[in-house]
Amino acid sequence: MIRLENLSINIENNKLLIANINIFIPSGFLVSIIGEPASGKTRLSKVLGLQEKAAVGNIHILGKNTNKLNRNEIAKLHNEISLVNEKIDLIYNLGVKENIILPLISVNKRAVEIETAVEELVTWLKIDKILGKNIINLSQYEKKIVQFAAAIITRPRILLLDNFFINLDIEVQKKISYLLLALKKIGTTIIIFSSNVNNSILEYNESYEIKNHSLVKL
Amino acid sequence: MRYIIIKFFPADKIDYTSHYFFNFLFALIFAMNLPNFNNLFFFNNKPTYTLLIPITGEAYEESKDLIFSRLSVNDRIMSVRKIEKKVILDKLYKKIDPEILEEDLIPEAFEIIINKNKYLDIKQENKNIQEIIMGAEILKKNTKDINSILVSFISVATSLIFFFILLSILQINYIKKIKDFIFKSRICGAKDRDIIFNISMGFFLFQLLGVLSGYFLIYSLEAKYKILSFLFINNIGTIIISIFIQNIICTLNLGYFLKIQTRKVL
Repeated sequence: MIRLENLSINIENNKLLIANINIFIPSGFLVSIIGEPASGKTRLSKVLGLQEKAAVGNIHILGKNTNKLNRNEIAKLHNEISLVNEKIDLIYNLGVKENIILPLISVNKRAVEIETAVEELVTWLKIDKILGKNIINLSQYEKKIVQFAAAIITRPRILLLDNFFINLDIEVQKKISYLLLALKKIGTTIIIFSSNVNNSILEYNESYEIKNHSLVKL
Repeated sequence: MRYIIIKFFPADKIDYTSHYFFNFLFALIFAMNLPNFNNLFFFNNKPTYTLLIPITGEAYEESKDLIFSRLSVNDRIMSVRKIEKKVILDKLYKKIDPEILEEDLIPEAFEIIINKNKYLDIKQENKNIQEIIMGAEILKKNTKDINSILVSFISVATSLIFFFILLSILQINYIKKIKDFIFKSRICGAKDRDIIFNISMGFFLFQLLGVLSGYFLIYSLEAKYKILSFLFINNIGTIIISIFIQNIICTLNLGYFLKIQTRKVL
């Protein structure tokens, strides 16, 4: 569950990017937020992913006002949220498997749990062939899949995808879309940030557009 | 094993290697500074005490024994060692014309050896011994040499300043290289203290190895090949303190820089 109250996002020099966002997204919803390039989608995804701060307003995530949380409580919430960035943000001196399991290692999961989670992912995403590779040897598409795998291995309650489907072929888009629907069914809130709604498989519960510095419901 | 490496050793191998050699090198530098550390902090400038007993005619030996019995009551005094007359005369000849020097008037002299880090209340002791032989006296001489202290201070301070500057440069560089790892760990839900602890542990292991191997090298050169003479065993207390301080400084410094880096993430 996500609730945004009078949220405004600024860019450098305090220039307004998106103003006065008031939305409520219940658990298990699939939401689309579209907007022109540089309209503020990425910034909004990072604010929702608790990676950046909003200029003003409140963010309530899973019933907690993030403005009132200390660093340890924020860290706990980070554990429930996964953001797949548009930009590849994998760690190049670690291998594919290490990048995928890093979120589980960070929260001190046991080796058995990690191996089980990896096995499940390998079956779903069919990434067994690239598991032993180095990041530098992957194609752009493979890197995106690794990012996606690292995001969902923790079974997050909120999944944010920023321009994820760009440059993915139709078959892969379909595969990921079915996986997203499966995650939605188990209660994961999914927000997809993109330039347009172009996915025929996904049925969004709600769609928004960033227009003239505001978030409007479609 | 792979999980342990990712968790505790996220930096490049070259960084752990350089951290090892940095600490190894500074362990050698600090070991060479051991006499200076001792000079500054461990009472190496304690005063020396000399007992002078004028030779009186009657019952001199008995009175002298009484003085020694009196001194033996003081548990700070370990022993008394006679200073040979020849040694005294050699020193006196440098200052007094040998022709006017009457050897019979020269008092017997004894060096009083006291327990480590202890001092004598010479006012009280002199009062006691002068009751036995008039004119007997314990003289206190401070061996504190301002120049040697200044040299020790400059040497220790220079080593420490270089240590701090180089350590900070290296550690900032290590953290810069793993900032993506720190950022990722943090946004995946790791707590600041876990990130700081895990990364510090990895570097701590290499720094400890570096420091210990530095001292081990010195010990080997001294014990096996007799090349150096740092009196390793005699200075073991100072060495342990030095190892402890070097490791504490490295760890706290790294922890401080890591804390700054983790604070950059929300």
